[in-house]
Amino acid sequence: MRLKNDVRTNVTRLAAHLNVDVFIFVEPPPDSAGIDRNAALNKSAVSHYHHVPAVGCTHVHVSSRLPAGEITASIAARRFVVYRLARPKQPQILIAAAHLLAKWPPPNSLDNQRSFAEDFSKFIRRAERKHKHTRTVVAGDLNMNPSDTGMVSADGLHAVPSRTVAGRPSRNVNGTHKGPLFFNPSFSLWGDRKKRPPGTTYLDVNIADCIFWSVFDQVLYREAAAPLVNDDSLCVIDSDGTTDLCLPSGEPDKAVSGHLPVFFALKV
Amino acid sequence: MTENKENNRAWPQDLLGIAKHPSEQTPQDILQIQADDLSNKTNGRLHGRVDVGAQGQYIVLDFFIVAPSLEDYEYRLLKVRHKLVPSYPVEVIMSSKDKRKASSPETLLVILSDIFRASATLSIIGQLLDLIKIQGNPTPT
Repeated sequence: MRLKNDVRTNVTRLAAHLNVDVFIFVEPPPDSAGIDRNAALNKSAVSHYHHVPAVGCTHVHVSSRLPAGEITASIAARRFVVYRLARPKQPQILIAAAHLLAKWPPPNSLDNQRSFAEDFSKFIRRAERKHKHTRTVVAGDLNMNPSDTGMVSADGLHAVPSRTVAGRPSRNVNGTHKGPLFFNPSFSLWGDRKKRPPGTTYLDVNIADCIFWSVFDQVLYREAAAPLVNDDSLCVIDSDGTTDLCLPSGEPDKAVSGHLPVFFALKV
Repeated sequence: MTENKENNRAWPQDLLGIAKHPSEQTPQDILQIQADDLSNKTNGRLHGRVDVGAQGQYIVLDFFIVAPSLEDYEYRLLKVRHKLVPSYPVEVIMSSKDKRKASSPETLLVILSDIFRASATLSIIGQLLDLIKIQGNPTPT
């Protein structure tokens, strides 16, 4: 979920409405905008949340109501963190949360985004080697659409729309084995056939290839994590249970956030 | 934040003094000296680590701060990128907006000194030391 302004009421309502255990906030400006995420969450009658520290990371913040120690930061950089989630009697899961480089303004470019995606991908692999498993889920504002080069490239996040393909241990790219892959169910969040918002962000600009709706906020997972993800739960949220997060025209209400939140559930 | 004050007196105050022959050192050598120095200055509570990787035609060096007693929490402070040969100039990358070029080992040392002494860096080290203190589980020296 990407916060822009003081949206404590919306966050508190979302916590109760969706029975949220863990919030992943990206690019929250707690100092400049005065947002106190945990204070907001603790207003909820549901339960109490605590901030999960990831020292040094300035773009991702996690609030959790799980018992202390069940979710902890393992490895971080300024824009991304890999958390380990260890619930009793459940296999450990890695949750890689990120706020990747925006498409705009210049000098940002697709090449720069791809470079960031490659860096993030290497970071994830480093965490997987450290913890000796690949039960990894990625979530965050990746600032790319699912089909963008940085998302799909074998040196990037290597995320594809088919779980069958993503289940391959590796694939041959010009004679070199590249892997592993991610399954990207976020492809299914694009378009409004299911009476849902057609994406998570909306931009209407005067250029020839404007796509209007993008799915910058995505969830990906490895095949090893598939049994632990409730795939049917993945959706774009357009209401906090009381008020719409979209304007009557359908686009995100930027007074709340320019990005609509994404919800997903784990079977742990 | 007493640990912060303590750290202000420690790493990396004598960065330039440590490098006796910087002109002979590769970027990896220079980073490794700082990594070792962080461990010494914090009595092993924090470690530095340099990971070496490749990206296209470039060698990429990731400089991590590691907190062993915080379940090996790792924070990547910076990246250094250079061609295989010659190893200078190098690019020191803090963020997408903060990239600095060093044409020599001496310039690299000046840039690193600037980064290591920055308030943001000292704050990160201070926060980690505070968390270690709160846990009451400092790494034995």
